[in-house]
Amino acid sequence: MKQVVLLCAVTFACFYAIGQQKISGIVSSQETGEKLPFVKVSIKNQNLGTDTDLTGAFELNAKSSDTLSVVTSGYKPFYVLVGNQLTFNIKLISEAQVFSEFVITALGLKRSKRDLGYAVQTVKSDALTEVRNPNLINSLAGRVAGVQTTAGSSGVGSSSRVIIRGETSLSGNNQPLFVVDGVPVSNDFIANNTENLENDFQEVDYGNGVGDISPDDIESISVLKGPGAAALYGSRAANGVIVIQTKEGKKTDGVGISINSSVTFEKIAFLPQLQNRYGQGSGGNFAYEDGLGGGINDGGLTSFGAELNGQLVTQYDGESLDTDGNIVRGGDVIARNGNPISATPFSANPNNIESFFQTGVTSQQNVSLSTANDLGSYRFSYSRLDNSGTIPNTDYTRNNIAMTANMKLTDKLRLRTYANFINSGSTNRPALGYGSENVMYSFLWMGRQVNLENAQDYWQAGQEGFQQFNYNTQWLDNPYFTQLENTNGFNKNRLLGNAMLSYAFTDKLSLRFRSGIDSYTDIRTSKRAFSTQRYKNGAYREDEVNFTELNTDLLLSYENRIGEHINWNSAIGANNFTQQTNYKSLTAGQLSVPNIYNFQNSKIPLVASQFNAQKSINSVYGILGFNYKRFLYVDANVRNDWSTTLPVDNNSFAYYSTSAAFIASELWELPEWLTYAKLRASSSSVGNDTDPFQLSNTFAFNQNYASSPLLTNSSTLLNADLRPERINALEVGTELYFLNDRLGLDLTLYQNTAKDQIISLPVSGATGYTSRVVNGGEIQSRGIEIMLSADVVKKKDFSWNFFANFSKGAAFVQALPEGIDQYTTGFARVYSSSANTVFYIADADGGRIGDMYGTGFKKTEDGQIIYGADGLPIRDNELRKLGNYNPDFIVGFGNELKYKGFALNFLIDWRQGGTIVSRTKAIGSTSGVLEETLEGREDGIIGEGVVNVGTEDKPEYIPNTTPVSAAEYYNQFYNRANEESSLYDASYIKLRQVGLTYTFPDKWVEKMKLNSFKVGVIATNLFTITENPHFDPELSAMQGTNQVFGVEDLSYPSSRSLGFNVQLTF
Amino acid sequence: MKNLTLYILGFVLIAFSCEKFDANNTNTNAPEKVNPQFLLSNVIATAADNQAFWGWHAGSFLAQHASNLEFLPIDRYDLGNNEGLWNETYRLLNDLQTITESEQGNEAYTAVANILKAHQASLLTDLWTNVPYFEALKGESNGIFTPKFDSQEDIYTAEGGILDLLEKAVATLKATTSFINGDILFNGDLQKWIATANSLRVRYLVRISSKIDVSAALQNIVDNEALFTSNNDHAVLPYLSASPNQWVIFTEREGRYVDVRMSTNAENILSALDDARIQTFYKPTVNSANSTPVYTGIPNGLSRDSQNGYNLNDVSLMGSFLRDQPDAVEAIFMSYTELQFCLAEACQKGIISGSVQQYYENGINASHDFFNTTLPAGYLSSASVVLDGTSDLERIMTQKWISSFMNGYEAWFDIRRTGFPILTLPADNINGDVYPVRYAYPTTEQAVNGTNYTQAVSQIGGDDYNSKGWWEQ
Repeated sequence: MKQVVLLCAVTFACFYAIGQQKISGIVSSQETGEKLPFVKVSIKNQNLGTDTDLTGAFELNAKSSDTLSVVTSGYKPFYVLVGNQLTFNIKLISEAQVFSEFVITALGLKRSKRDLGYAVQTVKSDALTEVRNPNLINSLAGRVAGVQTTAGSSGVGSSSRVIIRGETSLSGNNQPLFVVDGVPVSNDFIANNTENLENDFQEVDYGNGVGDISPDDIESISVLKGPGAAALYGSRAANGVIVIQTKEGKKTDGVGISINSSVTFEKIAFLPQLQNRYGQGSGGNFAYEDGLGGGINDGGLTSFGAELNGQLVTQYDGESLDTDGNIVRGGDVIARNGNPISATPFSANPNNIESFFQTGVTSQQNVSLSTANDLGSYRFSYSRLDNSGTIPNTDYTRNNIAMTANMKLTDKLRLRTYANFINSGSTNRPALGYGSENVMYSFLWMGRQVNLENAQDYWQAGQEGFQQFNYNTQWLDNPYFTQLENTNGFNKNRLLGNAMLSYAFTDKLSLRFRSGIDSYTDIRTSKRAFSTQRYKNGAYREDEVNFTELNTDLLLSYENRIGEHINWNSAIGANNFTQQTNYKSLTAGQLSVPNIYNFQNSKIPLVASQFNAQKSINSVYGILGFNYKRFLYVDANVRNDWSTTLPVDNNSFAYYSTSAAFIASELWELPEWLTYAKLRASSSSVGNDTDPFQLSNTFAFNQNYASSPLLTNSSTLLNADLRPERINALEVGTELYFLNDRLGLDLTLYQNTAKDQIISLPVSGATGYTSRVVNGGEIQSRGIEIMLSADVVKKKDFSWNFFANFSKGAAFVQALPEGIDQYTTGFARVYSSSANTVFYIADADGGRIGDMYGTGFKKTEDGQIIYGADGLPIRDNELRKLGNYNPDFIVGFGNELKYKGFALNFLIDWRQGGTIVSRTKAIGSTSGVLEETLEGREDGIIGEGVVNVGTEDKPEYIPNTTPVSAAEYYNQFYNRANEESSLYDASYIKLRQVGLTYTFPDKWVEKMKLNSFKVGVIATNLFTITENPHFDPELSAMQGTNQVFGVEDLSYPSSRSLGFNVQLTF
Repeated sequence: MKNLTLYILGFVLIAFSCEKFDANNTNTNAPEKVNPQFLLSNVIATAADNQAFWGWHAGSFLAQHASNLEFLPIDRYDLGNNEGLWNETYRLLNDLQTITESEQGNEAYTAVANILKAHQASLLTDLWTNVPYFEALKGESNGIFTPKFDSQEDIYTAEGGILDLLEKAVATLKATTSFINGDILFNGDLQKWIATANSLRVRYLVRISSKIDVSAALQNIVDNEALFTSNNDHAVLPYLSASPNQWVIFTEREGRYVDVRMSTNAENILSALDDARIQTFYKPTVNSANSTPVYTGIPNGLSRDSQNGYNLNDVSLMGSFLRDQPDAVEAIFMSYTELQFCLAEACQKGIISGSVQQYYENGINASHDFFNTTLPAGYLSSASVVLDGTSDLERIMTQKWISSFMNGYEAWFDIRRTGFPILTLPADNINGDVYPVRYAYPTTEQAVNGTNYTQAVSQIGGDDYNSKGWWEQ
């Protein structure tokens, strides 16, 4: 964090004069140039004095021998001898960092943080650019109280999700609004319309919208947490707002050039812990013939075979001969044409999976030019990111060109423009979710004896382009084949930009016009080669997303004062928001010629799908603010929206918000150790609309039967009587600074009550629909956020400061809609199979949002698992609570130590509580590859529990004594239809990032003709403490078109990274 | 100056309040109203596909035409709840309801929709026992989002139930002058729909014949109503050579095919009869491929451990027409063969008068014809085929069982009803050595329709796989 440098810029001449004279001047802030009203200007040691007015001006009679004293809270006192100077331009220097903090609040208004009646937290550019996280959202992790981030599992370029103050909305969106320079931008996550089926393209994560923005272009990120803070942004701000301010040109001699360059290397962490004692097969038997059941158990997937003792067994990579007598491999089944395979040692390959992954490299380069003069400031920046992933043949690249100009066209007219052109893309993003397109699926079903290196040459001899070579042909794809042939690329071009004209009619009245655009085209291409499990004849698919959002607003502001002590400001404005989303997809499900990926090569009719949607909101709003003597601030906002997505007679909804800040330390003399004390409170009521087309049902196109078109009722029943949603929020908080501001505490309590939420509720299939759109009951979330900051050591050469934040909150059902006894808000599935479903249910009896239900074992009243006479646990169809996926609390803890030019910072992130249902655990146990499945291999397993030897009605339980084979036990106990057996605690403590930078001393830098020069070593995700040995509990899963929670669905290993960073300016 | 501002503000507001504001929310991606023909085509195509798909994935194991090696736990009687089929079936019923309510519809559409509705309703109640029926599909119209479950007896016999719908449909179609489009099954030939409705009435009357006296009703149909006359006019929809109407196993992963094998039970029954259809239904074992073809099954529901004694090269795969051709499979609503066996059974039991032998032989002939298999000379008179008065019902049901190969769940329903053919319980079943008779209810019903679910569970005697429905008690 920056320490404000003491600077004084008073211009005066030192002449002496005699007698009283009228002097005048203006007091402003050194940092921001803001004119400071209500500053006490007096003659030192006398009682004479005045306050500055709204424009910071003052007038006073003084003698030339007097010393002028300028004192106000938050700034260093300023003294100057009057002399014979008549006008003074006094610039006050803010006293401590906390008070100099300016935040961008609603409508892009810059406010001093001290004035605000609600909680705002800001992350400055330093934190973003030293350890540059390719996705901005991840930079918020651990830094901001009440903010929870979740990263996707497909490496750099994955989607990250952020939730502020937990989930208030049941619709599952809960994403805050992102605003760049006052104009909303899309953070949408528009996935391909895949359905998690067994014979379809699997899910691919193409990233979230905000991930496109380069961290190097960001000046600051402010998090407006409550709906109160956000009310002026309209309905999309109901889940909070993340306000991003882009960098502007800075005053330098000539053109300032800054270069920020970093390269990081990523290695996988969190590979599942695997056993290495038993190979593929069953009952000790295995022999490879064709990977299709033609040998012994060679089509099977389980690793309950023989011990891996190097005994000779035919294997997929053993030598054989083709019909011409050339040496081929066992798995070259077609060329071999039945010729025998030489047996090779049946041995463990402990690193077969680990060695598949590679070291990822991420290079992030930025160069920016900036200048500023009296007429304006300009900045141009180019950023490039290149990543090659830890998963072979995955990558991500991003180019950002950004330009900002801030121009003073006349004395009264200013123009600010910002334009950011972004091109991002990839030749291949890994497939997610459960199924053969995800290599983790192949690994969890792969025999532990497989020497995967020998699968790198992934075509069968003489069958290049037609038939893959693999250790299992029955169910799996060769992982190399998957990664190198079956790619999911994309290319996205995006334009983000806005222009703002502001005209100051007078000092008090100004008008601002602003218009912003966010427009992109994202073209995704998926290729599948011949012999792919899901596409025998290959396939090609293109998905195209076209998105445009326009925001235009006009704001008229007026400020004035009433009497001596009250300053008021007001504004009225209007906004128009229009959003258009066009999605289309074309699929050639079979190809004629291999390796040609276009639609002309389609062997069968193309399958098309298309969806266009648009939405507009018109709004008007007004702001009124008062402040009294700089210790009491009261703000009130109103806004009304008209949304196209709601029924015509019910499409108008209003917002109200009020907030107050009371700075006690300004009014009262407080003990010396309490430097600053502020109380704040805010109350608001915000409305919300919904997605387009939620009012009346349409029929869905099915694919033709021959030339007969098929249409069907859609599976969701829409609702023509929707009302706007409403969220009422209350927030109180305090900010306290102690010991000369060395120690700071910020405490917030909040309560959000959401009523009439528009939600798609699952409904009995017997209604003909599987879900229906309704206005839901009432959900209340409450929580607490605590932030602590301290300058532990503050010496010239050595400083140490730390921050910590803590947040805890939960949402509970207060009331349910008519006729419903519990909320089933959604579910997560494997293969859309109903047997493997985790339901999200909040029941009326204090049910918490995030409670998960699934099926499990039949149990006695005292909780023992009941076994059958066959020694296997009995499952039943009853839903029971598995846990809640939300954390109990989150703690972030950061430190910065500085010694001379060295700075060391590190960030620890602790998430406590929450449950996760793991598919890796279920599948890896069923297949017998996980380490813990070694137990019971030789002697079988006697499951812990009881057997009913009585009757159904009069049960009599005795301990289970029937042993079953390990294969059978794990197969049944970890049956996927039984979610209860694969639960983990999702808690973790992560050392999220460490950075060590060295700033070269000015003397050296000058010699090098540079302005500044900094080098650093950076590391992320260095270690994690978690109870589960197999995967990173932080990652989210993706099913269908949604990210789902509380479910781990064969996630890729996350990675830790180490890298170097050089920053220089000249 | 203030005036200027107001002008600007006013101008901007006018520019914003575009006239088309409300039209913005019109979904132009899909129609709000459609001609019933498109819904009818959809129901026929989807219901047919469901029937065939579930024949492969479930019915064949429950009826023991096939065994599964690894990934279909249903073969070990871990049946699950099949919520997908439940939801899909109700959605089709919703489409049918839309047809009957359509302004562009007519009485012929309504009658045909009701025939299909009866067919889908029987599937629901025979798979899940008591299911929502009379209160189903009434969310939109009556606000019933938690429909009550109805008894199987009412679903079959009450007004508006299966038999009532079919009878009234026949009456309507006989009298109507309206016509229908989108009929991908019969190309609008309402006479064939009449025959289908009547043939289905025969199926369902025989199904409930142990609970109520269906004799008069059945005799009346046989004497006075139009029924299928051959394989050329029955209700069967073929898969097509072009996607997306290809038979699912043609496009599935290799594993989905090789994981399914001939069942030992099928081997025993077909070999004992020296039945030629064995060559159509199954492939010779790999090890016999180059010599005399041998057809060998593997017992149903073996755990992976228990399969260790078997060399898969000595176990038959399913027939080539189920894997290698996209359009060789035909999805069956109701076949002429099945009608003949139903009538044979009814005759044998004395429910109707007529020649058992004739119906029986018609069925066997038609089945061979349907599966493109030549009926071997002397088959009908061979000792284990001929009806000799000692075990006629078993023989009829055995022949019906063979002919129900890949016909969805029908063979399972027949076994549950008659006990024939006698099956071998899977050694490694996980249903406590009980032959399952239903699916569990979808867990969604527990989650969203809890009160009615609980009531239904207590009515049927537990939401397990063993609670018998009305007609089989």
